[in-house]
Parts: sequence; structure tokens; C-alpha cells
Amino acid sequence: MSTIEEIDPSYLALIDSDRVSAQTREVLLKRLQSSDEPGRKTALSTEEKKILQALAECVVPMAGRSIDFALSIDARLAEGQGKGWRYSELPPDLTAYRGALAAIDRYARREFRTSFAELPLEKKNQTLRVIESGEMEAGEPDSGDDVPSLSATQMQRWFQDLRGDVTGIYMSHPETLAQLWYSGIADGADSAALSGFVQLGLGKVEAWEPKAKVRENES
Amino acid sequence: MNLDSMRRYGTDEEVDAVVIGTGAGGAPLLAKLARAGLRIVALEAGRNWDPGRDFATDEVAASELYWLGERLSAGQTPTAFGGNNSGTGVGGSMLHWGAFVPRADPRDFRIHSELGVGVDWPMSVDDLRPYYKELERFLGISGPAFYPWDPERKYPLPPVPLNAPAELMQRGFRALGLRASEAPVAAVSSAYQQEGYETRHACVNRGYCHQGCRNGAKASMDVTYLPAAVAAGAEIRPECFVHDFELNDQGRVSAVIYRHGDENIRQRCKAVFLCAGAVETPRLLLHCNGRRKEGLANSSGQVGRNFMAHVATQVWGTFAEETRPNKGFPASLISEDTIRPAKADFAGGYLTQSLGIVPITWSMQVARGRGLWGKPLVDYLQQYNHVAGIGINGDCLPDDRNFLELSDEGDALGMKKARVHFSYGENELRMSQHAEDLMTAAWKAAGATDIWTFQRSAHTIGTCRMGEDPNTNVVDATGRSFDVPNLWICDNSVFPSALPANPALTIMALSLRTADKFLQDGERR
Ligand SMILES: Cc1cc2nc3c(=O)[nH]c(=O)nc-3n(C[C@H](O)[C@H](O)[C@H](O)COP(=O)(O)OP(=O)(O)OC[C@H]3O[C@@H](n4cnc5c(N)ncnc54)[C@H](O)[C@@H]3O)c2cc1C
Ligand code: SF4
Repeated sequence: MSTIEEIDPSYLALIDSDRVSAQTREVLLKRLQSSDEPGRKTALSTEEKKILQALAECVVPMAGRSIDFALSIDARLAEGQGKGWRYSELPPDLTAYRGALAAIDRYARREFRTSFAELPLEKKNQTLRVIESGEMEAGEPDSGDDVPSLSATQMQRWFQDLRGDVTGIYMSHPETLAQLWYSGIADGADSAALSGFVQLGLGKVEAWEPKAKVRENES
Repeated sequence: MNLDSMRRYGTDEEVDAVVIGTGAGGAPLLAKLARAGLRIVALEAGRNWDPGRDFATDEVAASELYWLGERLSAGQTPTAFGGNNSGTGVGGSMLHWGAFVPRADPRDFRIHSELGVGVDWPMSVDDLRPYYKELERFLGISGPAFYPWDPERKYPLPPVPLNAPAELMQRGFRALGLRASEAPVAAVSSAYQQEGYETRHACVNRGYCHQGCRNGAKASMDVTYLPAAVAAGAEIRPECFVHDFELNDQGRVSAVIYRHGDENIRQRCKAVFLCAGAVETPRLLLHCNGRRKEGLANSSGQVGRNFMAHVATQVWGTFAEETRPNKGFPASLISEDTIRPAKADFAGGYLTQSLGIVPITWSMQVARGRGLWGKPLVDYLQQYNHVAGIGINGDCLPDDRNFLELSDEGDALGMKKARVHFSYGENELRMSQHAEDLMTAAWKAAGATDIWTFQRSAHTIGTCRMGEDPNTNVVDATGRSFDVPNLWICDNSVFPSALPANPALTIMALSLRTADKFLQDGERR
């Protein structure tokens, strides 16, 4: 897990400055320190969370840092709070997640004789490509298993939800915002007459605005 | 908003009217009826907010403004709900709307007469023009001194400044020989004394309109019509979810039943204005079947039919210079040259707008819609400060395949969740392709690289259509139900066709008009 210490100190200083409102600072710092609360309701088993975390790290690979995606997603699933809609062809979010995680692990054991979380990166990505192309035939659940099986098309739809969930968690993380030198959090202090932005338009920057991260892969 | 000293009515008191929902449809008529001296109560499912104190500049925190009651999305181009098109709270979806306020084009009200598709509106844009003018003045709309597609039009405030995506669209459109103009936006470009309320601060270009404006610059209902309504004696009850109606022997609504906390409360009333939006309005009518198994106000069988969503295709590109797409009013440039575009192989048209965007919304669009994952995804997300978008709002024709129904799944109150079927027809598919080609050309001309298209649909429209014929419509041209004489519907559900213009200004115009019609004769019938 990343901690306050790992964030660029000048971005932390921005978060602490009076250009960021108290409410905004509070949500950012809370997110940064997010760790499991004892006694929290959980929805997924330890094994399911392990598969989920492995999947999430394929969707958003991060060199030298990590985010506990499985924890955030589990917390949301346990609360039963979705995003306001779901594909009609998918079962409710928790059932879909559980069905998909089981199917992926079954696939990995069948094709590679090992659990998904233990696979080398290339084999994990290969598995995701099978889901993405709508070709993952999940096979029948083991007897005694209470999770329903998803069809290949359902897996494809679910994978889109997974990408959205994981990417949203990644992008909202203060360390990601710091890497981008994202200026939007600093829209002014707490008075009603916010300072906001004056330098608009191509290539214009405020005197206080952090220099945006240099683009790595010029296209 | 401050509700501390508002007037209150007893639940046993037979109030003149109950308004359900306080968004674009509910708020203007609430103010107008209260000002006319009516005793009136608004029931709003969502919370009451204090934007300056409660709204963080953060997209995750803003999800409290979204309607998160789950909806099931079906069809070949299922539309996304929640943050994409549905809000809640005192002020409705207008708390998180984008405040882009073009008027409807007169041709689009007569699309059937003109092009033989869709349906005509049971009125003309001339009927709405006085209301458009009233709204633009009251809300403090900022816009250009000269509006190229309607030279007569005058906006009360000068335009908001152009941000990088707007400059780029200007460049791209100029290269293609198309006109573009500063957009009409419902954010005040300078401090504005709101009639009957406080001074609203000028827009500070923070770009978080979709997450709730913190300083009153954006004309959401909680800083415009709702304070006016409260000042005139209306009561607004937050966190009150309506789930039933009581009818008397004449088939009129005599009381509204709502849930507040763990309690069911009954409010007696003489008339009801149902303004819960184009998903919750038909859902409630289908749910309250009372004596009729087809649902309330549904002898036509049209409740829930004709669901429409705008074709809202976007094109994104990367630019060498920094764009910082979070800065500035997000959509500050418009073109209406595409309302009837050249080389069209479809009916109707679309308007084009420049797009700024905040990072999480953008990243999730990339992950879901561009289909990236792994290193290509992370690498592309690093380009955030260099991207800019351009997008359309395109007309959508009513289609038999597109409708809302109740599913078998219940929500926490046991009310069935809505399932919405939505598939683009040939017309929408062609329009989207035309727009994609045009916007890609504009982005190339503006210097973009790594250009890609994001397919999406926006807004929830139709489902309780207005029209002349009781057999094929749910309400008449004034918004009154054909079946239940003291039930009026006023929200995005009454639209006979989608129109390329973004909906809220037209919904508000209909709201003021419905209030006038009600005051003229509705009360006495
Ligand atoms: C992110 C976003 C951006 C947008 N941008 C623009 C734009 O730039 N320009 C534009 O013109 N339009 C825009 N819109 C659309 C615009 O906000 C809507 O068209 C408009 O608000 C719809 O008005 P309405 O009255 O139909 O419903 P709403 O404004 O949604 O109001 C309905 C209200 O009813 C309440 N309600 C629902 N059910 C019940 C019940 N059973 N009991 C009590 N209360 C209930 C809801 O909580 C809600 O507050 C945008 C919308 C969103 C979400
Ligand atoms: S850009 Fe302007 S209107 Fe939008 S949220 Fe910021 S201050 Fe409000």
C-alpha cells in the first residue's frame, strides 16, 4: 500500500495548501490512508480477493507501487452499492463478480494447471484476452459450489465493468493524481468566492500551477 | 439550500398541489405556482445540500449526487444510468448537469412534417420562445453577443472564457469551413444578483460542474427557482420518496403516499405534478397500478414506451501542447451547423460541442470504451494533461423496440426495478458515423494524434409522451394526463422526440408553460 511518505512532497504540499478546500483535502487524505477497518462486512472470500487483486494488477500494472483494489471492490460489493445501473444480461454485481472470479480460476486450472493468481504475467494476460474476445467458456462449477456460471458473452460484459471499476480506483488515488501533477483539486480556498483558474487555453498555466508530468511516450 | 424558515403545511391539510421531484421539470413550476399564491408542497427523494460546505472537488465524493437506485440496461446499445444521466437531491439532476443551454431548433419540432420520420411536437418553438427568453434572463445565461444560428437572440451575460478544447475545436472547425461560437451556458460569467435570492458568484472555471458547483455560478435549481419558490411560500420536503397514490371515486388523485425514513406518510392534495424524470416517472405510474392492471394514467399503453437517449458520440485526441482538460467551463464552444449537416444519409441532425473533462470520468471512459487495459491503458492515462475532446448531442427517433418496463427484481422498498431497452436504429447509427467522420477530420485539422471514438448515449427522454391523441399519448400538450384529470406530468418524459438540443432548457420552458396552463384553467376543471 502506498503511504503519505511515498507521494511527491510538493503535491502533498499542494493538498495541504489553502488552494484546496477542507472537504477535498479530507477525502483525498482518507483515500490515501485507506486500510481495512476491523469488523467491516466483507463479500468475497480471501481466495476470491486474491484472484481479484491479481486481475486488477493486470488491468492496471503499476511499477513500484500498489493499490489494494480487491479491498475497495469488496467493500463496495459488501455494501451492495452499485453504480446506478447494470447490464440486464448480468446478474447482480456480487453474483457476477463471484461467478466471473470462479470461472477465471477454473479456466486457469484447466488450461495451465495452476490457480490464476499464481500464473506468470504473460499467461494472465492471455487469459484476459480470451475473456475480452468473448471466448471464455467457463465450464460447469464444481459440485457444491454456490456461484452461477457466466456465459462467454456475460464474461465479456463483466470484464468491461471490471476495467471501469479498477481504473476508477486507480485514477482517483492521490498518488496517481500526484504523478500526473493534476491541478484540478486546487480550485480555491473555502470562501464562496473561489479563486479557481484564470489561465485557460492551450499551453497556459497559472503561476502556482504545478508543471504537468512530461509525456513519456510521445506519439 | 437553506430551508430553515420555509413555510410548512400539515399532511392532513388538502394542499393545492404536490410536486414530485425538484429538477428541471419540478422546480420552475413550483416557483410559479407558489408565486401565484397556491399552497404547495414538493416531495423530493434526494437530500438537501449546502454546496459550499458539502461538495468536495472530487469525482468519487460527488457520486452522492447520482441516482444510484439500480436500473437494468438492455438492448443492443444499452444506455448507462447513474452518473451518466441521473441525479438526485433538492435540485434534481440539475445539481450535476453540464449547464449547456441551446434552444430547440424550430425544424426539430416538426421533424415528421419535414422529413417523414419521428413525430411532430403538439406545439411550435414560437410557443416556447417567450419562456426561453424568460429563462435565459432569470437564470443569467452567458452567451455570445451574436449567435450565428439565431441573430435575434440576446444573452444577458457575456460568454464564459474558452478553454483549450474549445480553442482546438474552433481551429478544427475553421479548417473544415464550419462555424462555431461561444456556447450559451447556464453559468454566470460575472457576479449576478439572482432575483429573490443572493448574489451568485462568477464562474471560476474550475471545471467540476458535473460534480456540483460550489459557488452558485451554475444555474442549478437550488440557487434559482427553488429559493424563489420557498420565498413565495412553497414547502420542500427532502428525503421523501413517493411510492403510491390514493384515488377518489372520480378517478382523481386525492393523496400522495411517500416514504420518509421508516415511515409511510400520506399528503392530501388537490392536484399532482409528477416531475420525477423519464425513468422514475413511468416506473412510479407502472408500479401504482391501483385498480388498473396496466398502471396509472396508462389507458393508452404508452407509459414507458418511446424511450430515447441522445446520440452522444465523442472523439478524443492528444495534442503536443498542454490542454489541462479539467480547466475552464467544460463545454464552452458550440456549433449548430450540424443540425442539418451536409452529406447526411440520415434524418435530423446533431449539435457539436467542445469537451473538457475531469480525470476519473475520462479514465473510466477510456477503460470501458476504448477497451484498453494493461500497459497501453496506463501509458495512455499519463497523457491526461494533453488530451481534448469534441462531442455531439444528436436527435434520436422514437422506436417500438425502445421502452421501459418493470423487471422482476425488487428494490429495498419492494418496488420493481426498471429495465430499459435501448437499441440505436439505422438513423442513429448513421448519424453517429457521420459525426465520427466529421469530428475526426476536425481533430486532425487541429493537430491531434492518437484519435479515437467513444460511443455513448446521453439523457433519458420520452416514456410519457405528450400529444393530441389520447390513444397514442400519455398527456396532452399542456402536460395533463388524459386519464387522471388532476395529474400533470412535467419532466423529460413528455418529449415526443429527443431534439438535438440538450434537454434542460426546453424542460424548464415546458414547466413554466404547464404552470401557466394550470393556472389558466386546470385548477377549475
Ligand atoms: C451529468 C449530467 C450532465 C447534464 N448536462 C446537461 C447539459 O449540459 N444541458 C442540458 O440541457 N441537460 C443536461 N443534463 C440533463 C438534465 O440535467 C436533465 O435533462 C434534467 O435535469 C431532467 O429534468 P427532470 O425534471 O426530467 O428530472 P430530474 O432533474 O432528474 O429531477 C427528478 C427529481 O425527482 C426526484 N425523484 C425521482 N423519483 C422520485 C420519487 N418517487 N419521489 C420523490 N422524488 C423523486 C429525483 O430525486 C430528482 O431530484 C445533464 C444531466 C446529467 C446527469
Ligand atoms: S466551471 Fe463554473 S459553473 Fe462549473 S462548477 Fe466551476 S464555477 Fe461552477
